[in-house]
Amino acid sequence: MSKVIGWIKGTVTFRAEGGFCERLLDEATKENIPLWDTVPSDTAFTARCFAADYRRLRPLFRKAQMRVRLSKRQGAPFAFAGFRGRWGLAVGMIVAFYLFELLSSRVWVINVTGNETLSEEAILRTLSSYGVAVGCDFNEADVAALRLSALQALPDLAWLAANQDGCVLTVQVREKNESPPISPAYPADLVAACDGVIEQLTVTAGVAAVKSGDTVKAGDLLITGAVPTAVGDRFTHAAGTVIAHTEHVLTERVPLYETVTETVLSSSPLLSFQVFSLSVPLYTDRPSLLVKKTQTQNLTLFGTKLPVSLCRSYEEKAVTHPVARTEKQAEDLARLRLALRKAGVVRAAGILGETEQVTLDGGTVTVQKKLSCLEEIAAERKIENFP
Amino acid sequence: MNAKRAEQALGLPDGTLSREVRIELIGRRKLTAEGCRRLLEYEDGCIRFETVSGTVRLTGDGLRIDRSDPTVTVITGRFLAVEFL
Repeated sequence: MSKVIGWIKGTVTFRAEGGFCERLLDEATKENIPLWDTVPSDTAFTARCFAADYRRLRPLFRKAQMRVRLSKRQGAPFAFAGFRGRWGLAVGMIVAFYLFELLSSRVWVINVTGNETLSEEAILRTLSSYGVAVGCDFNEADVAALRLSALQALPDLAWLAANQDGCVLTVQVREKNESPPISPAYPADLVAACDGVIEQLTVTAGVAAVKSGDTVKAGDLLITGAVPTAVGDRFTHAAGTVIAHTEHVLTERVPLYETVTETVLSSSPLLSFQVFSLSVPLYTDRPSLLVKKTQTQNLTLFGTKLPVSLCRSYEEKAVTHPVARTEKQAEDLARLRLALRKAGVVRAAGILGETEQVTLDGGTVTVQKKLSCLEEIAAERKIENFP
Repeated sequence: MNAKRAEQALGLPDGTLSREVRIELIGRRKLTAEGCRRLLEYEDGCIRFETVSGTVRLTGDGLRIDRSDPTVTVITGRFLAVEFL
């Protein structure tokens, strides 16, 4: 500790020749000037003292009739003497320290993981509405409330967690899956998922409530999990296969004349450089007030996202133009749309046949397809309130 | 009242009130002296200083005054003798 204090205050080593070192020591003791590392010799006397005390020793050297010379200067006052008057350096160090403290306490990069169908922009936009964005102080955020609010705002998410590591915030999400199958241990019935005529019924657990040839509607009981016994109903998880003839009717209407509004992006983007939360435009022309679409590309270094990004802004223009179609074109468009819809309607079954009806009425082409299918229509339904 | 008598009457340690020199020698390497008035001689092999109780001479090798202030003087080195003159 004394060495540290000595360095901070600064020390000098002097060499005094001639005179009487005893008198010097006595006078210094009277004046309460500490001297240490004293070394007497025949020719000279050396000692060390604090730099500030050396000036006070000068009259004492005269009293002791000694000629003195400084031989060494050590410590902070001499090390930083060259920076005297250069206030900018000290101010710069203070500002840099403050900036370092400020920047290191905030979030500058947000990584989103676990999203498959939901876009990262949508998640970031939602988080931003709750105050979590680049440049925020995440320590002040109420994480539990944030999670609840974000999950309510994004109904496709089943779970969300945000963890901060330094300046990087990692947001982990899990999207909702389809309803998980009911546990085999839980009693359940099998009901019809859509209307149809039972073609084939195979029961592996439970009791059949319908038979081949029966017509059922969506929601009708097919196989019950309540098995009657001598002492009452025994509840089980119904299982089986129910194949039925079903019909699906898909209709698509396409007008021959209509006005279509399309959103067109400008061909040349406006570039801007984003550092932390500051945006530096790289263009000179003032952008218009039209709605912009922005694409942000974060720069990375060895796979790590940096708080530096390049933004491309496009001006969006809504362009309206009339469209005129021939009957053939309208029919083809309708069939194309129907083909896309058909894939989501039929549940893993064979299409036995389809009929198509095309009508033109009041300038609109209507294409209707009737699909005759053979498909599995059983769907599980929990038995609630069983004893 | 005599300082010594006062010390005895109050049961204080010797030298508390009388300002007599108090010398503490640790081994042969370090000596702490309280009550030094004036340094008379300072050399590598001999240090003499004046106290209330008289002049004290220290002889030895490599004697150095490590610290000297109005209350205490610390001397290090290899002591051969401590004498009152």
